[in-house]
Amino acid sequence: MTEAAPADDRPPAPELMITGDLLSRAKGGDRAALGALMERYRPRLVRWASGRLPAYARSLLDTNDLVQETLLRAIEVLDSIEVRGPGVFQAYVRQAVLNRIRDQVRWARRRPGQDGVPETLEDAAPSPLERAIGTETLDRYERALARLTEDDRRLLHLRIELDFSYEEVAAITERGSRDAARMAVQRALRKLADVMGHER
Amino acid sequence: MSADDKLDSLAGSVSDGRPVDWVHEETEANVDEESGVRALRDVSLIAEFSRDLQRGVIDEDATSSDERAEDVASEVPDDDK
Repeated sequence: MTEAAPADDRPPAPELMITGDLLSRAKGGDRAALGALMERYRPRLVRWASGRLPAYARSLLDTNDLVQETLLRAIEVLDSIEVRGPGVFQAYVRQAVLNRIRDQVRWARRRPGQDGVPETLEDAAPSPLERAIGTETLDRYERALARLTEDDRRLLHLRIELDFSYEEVAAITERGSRDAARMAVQRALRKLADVMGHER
Repeated sequence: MSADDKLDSLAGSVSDGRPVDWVHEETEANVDEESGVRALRDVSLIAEFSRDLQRGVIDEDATSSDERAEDVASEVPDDDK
């Protein structure tokens, strides 16, 4: 089976992969490791967040800033993140960014409109992703995702949401090969579809 | 092909980013497969949107994203929005 080309044409340099080793070094205060962590993950996370941030909330805080701040906070509290396996950092940061987006949306919705009256929830335009697939479908996706195992969630985040290649997914999640990563993602997708299907 | 095989194959296509004729798949789906096929179609839209965003097909600024969102949204049946 053929795989669509990865977003980033540059082959992933092993030293830039977000592996358990890199995370350990970052936790230990290795500035190069911290920088690599940011460099490798931040651009994709910014693009991912840009699809989930409604325009009215995005104008209040640049998506780059939101992700940058969240990543820096995550790195600051690295010691308190329970690393149960490879890819846990990404799962933690995904949730942290999602929480920041939700906070931002809530704040933007509460702020007064031009006439001084708070804007209502109905006034709020959806995010680009919500416009693409519908709020209800996105909610069902998020609920189903929450019911999967941590490993399945991070596989889908890396492959489906961040478009990492199977080789990169294998490296990040410390699987032996691209085929093993592909099979794991496929299984996670099946589980997700089963949960979403039962919710209809 | 069993329901499991069919859904596994579709999940593989979604993961690989290969195009799927969803209208055909939904039409051909039996009762056991129907909900899974529809869920995978929904996830494929998320995957397609995310892929386009990551590869720069969708501009990160709001206007362009909204335009692309409308393009993808046009592929979703009205009853799913």
